[in-house]
Amino acid sequence: MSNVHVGQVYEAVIQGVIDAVRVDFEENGVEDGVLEDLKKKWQMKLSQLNVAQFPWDPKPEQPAPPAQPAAPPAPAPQAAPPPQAAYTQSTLSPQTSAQPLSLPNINQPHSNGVPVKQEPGLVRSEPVAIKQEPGAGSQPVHPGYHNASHPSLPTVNPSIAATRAVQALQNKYGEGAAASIASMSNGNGKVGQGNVGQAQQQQQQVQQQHAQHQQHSQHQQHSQQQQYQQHPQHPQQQRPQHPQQIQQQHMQRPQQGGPQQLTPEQVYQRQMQQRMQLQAQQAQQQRGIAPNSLPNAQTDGPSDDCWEAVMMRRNAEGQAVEMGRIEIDDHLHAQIAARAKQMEGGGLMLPLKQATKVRSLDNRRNRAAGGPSQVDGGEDDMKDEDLDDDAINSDLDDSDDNKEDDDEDDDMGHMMLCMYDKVQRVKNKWKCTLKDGVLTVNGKEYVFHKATGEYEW
Amino acid sequence: MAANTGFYDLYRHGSLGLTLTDALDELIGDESIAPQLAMKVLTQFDRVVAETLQEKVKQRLTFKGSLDTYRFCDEVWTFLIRNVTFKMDGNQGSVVADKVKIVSCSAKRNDDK
Repeated sequence: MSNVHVGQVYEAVIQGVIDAVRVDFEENGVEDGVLEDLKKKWQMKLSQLNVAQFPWDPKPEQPAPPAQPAAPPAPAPQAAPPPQAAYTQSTLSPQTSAQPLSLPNINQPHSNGVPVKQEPGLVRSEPVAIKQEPGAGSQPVHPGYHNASHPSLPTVNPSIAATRAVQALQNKYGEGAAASIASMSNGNGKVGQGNVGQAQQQQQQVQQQHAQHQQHSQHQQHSQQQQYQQHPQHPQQQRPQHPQQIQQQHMQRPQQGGPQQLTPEQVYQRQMQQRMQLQAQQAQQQRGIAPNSLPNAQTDGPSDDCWEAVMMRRNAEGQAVEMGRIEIDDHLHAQIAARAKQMEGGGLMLPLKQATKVRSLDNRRNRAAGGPSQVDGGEDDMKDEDLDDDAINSDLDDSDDNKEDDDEDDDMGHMMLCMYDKVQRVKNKWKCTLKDGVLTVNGKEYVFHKATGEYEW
Repeated sequence: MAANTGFYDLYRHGSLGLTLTDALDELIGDESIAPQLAMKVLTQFDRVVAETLQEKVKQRLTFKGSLDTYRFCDEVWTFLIRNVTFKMDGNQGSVVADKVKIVSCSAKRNDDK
């Protein structure tokens, strides 16, 4: 259904009105410019409604699309230089393009180029390393792990790692770590005396220094072993997986025994480690967690002990009865809801309907609970009935009002203004003949000379 | 309902009339014209629209739907029709609307005056 005629008809109407009132304007001493102004404003407002295509509207839309295809050829020569630039960049400075691959190297200021290369190999085994935990020494070692890391390990200068660890300790714990640092420096002395050719073993020892220090601190702090082990190395290495890998390397290797020599120090480390595992298992059993049910998956946040502390705090009302998890959840939820309500200003931001509903509900609840408002008692039933009646009435009234409003206010959406010639009705079937109408449907306008409508009621 | 000139001001409620009213309001706000002049313009508009629709428009329209509400008051029919399908004769396609309000004044009375 096209409405091409609408523009012409409206143009005729506008022109007719303007011509008709010109005399009136002159009689009232109003300038001709004002009349032109009126016409322009009228036309502009009609165009803004976008109900039809008007003759006074410019028709730029049709010519515009053909002009656009001509545009791409013009920028084409300009687009040629960028590829050239890319070409020169990639050929003249291949290092720049290679940098993203060796990202870990860039982050290590002390690396002298050679030892750095161990890290890509380590990184390759990330997915395995992340999930393994220091306490999981009995787990089988990923085969790719040694293949990837060991060939590159001999180039590592162990003192670098040691100094890094010392720095990290100082950064993290300041004076409190003095003892650990001292012990580490002793260890470094031993390492420094070792044969450079057996760098693999040195690497182990350096890692054991880490672990030794860590265990010391564990004895000092008695908590959060995992968190602590990760922290000291963070400032120097951006990838958090890497320190874990080193730890893992350390933790697993003593278990293998095998071809590697065990120095007395290593034996000691091994014993310490086993003792740690035992402690951890005991702690888990105390908490009622099965030792195999992923207890070590927690790599961050407070340990379970902290949660128990929270539970105890919640318990402290009246008698020391343990609160179940659901009860705690309910309690928290109630508190959060109350806070949210405070944010809303006690229902001020709610729609009126909801606000009143909530209020009436609260009233009812108060009465049911025998709140302070009910002192005399005995009229519970009456009040409830009254409340219910009010609620129903108000709801019905509201909905009815809204329906009426919908019907009456929606005029501009779909409306037909016309004259009627005949309106006939037989039972519930209506027939009407209309004429000279303007119809507005779906944002478009149509004009008709005659219209016939049939509809059933 | 009928104005002094014998034409309905019905069409003032269409887009054409509403935009004219808006434009006149602006001019009155600017004190470019007096409100009485604006009323004269609207009266002329009633006449011009009726005449133009009678003379220039030839299209015929048919529509079907289910009548929701009907009202006949002061010689004015008001229908609220749901699920309407409009068809212009000689024109391809149809237009569907879920709800259309029809306000219709008597053509006879208009002619009589």
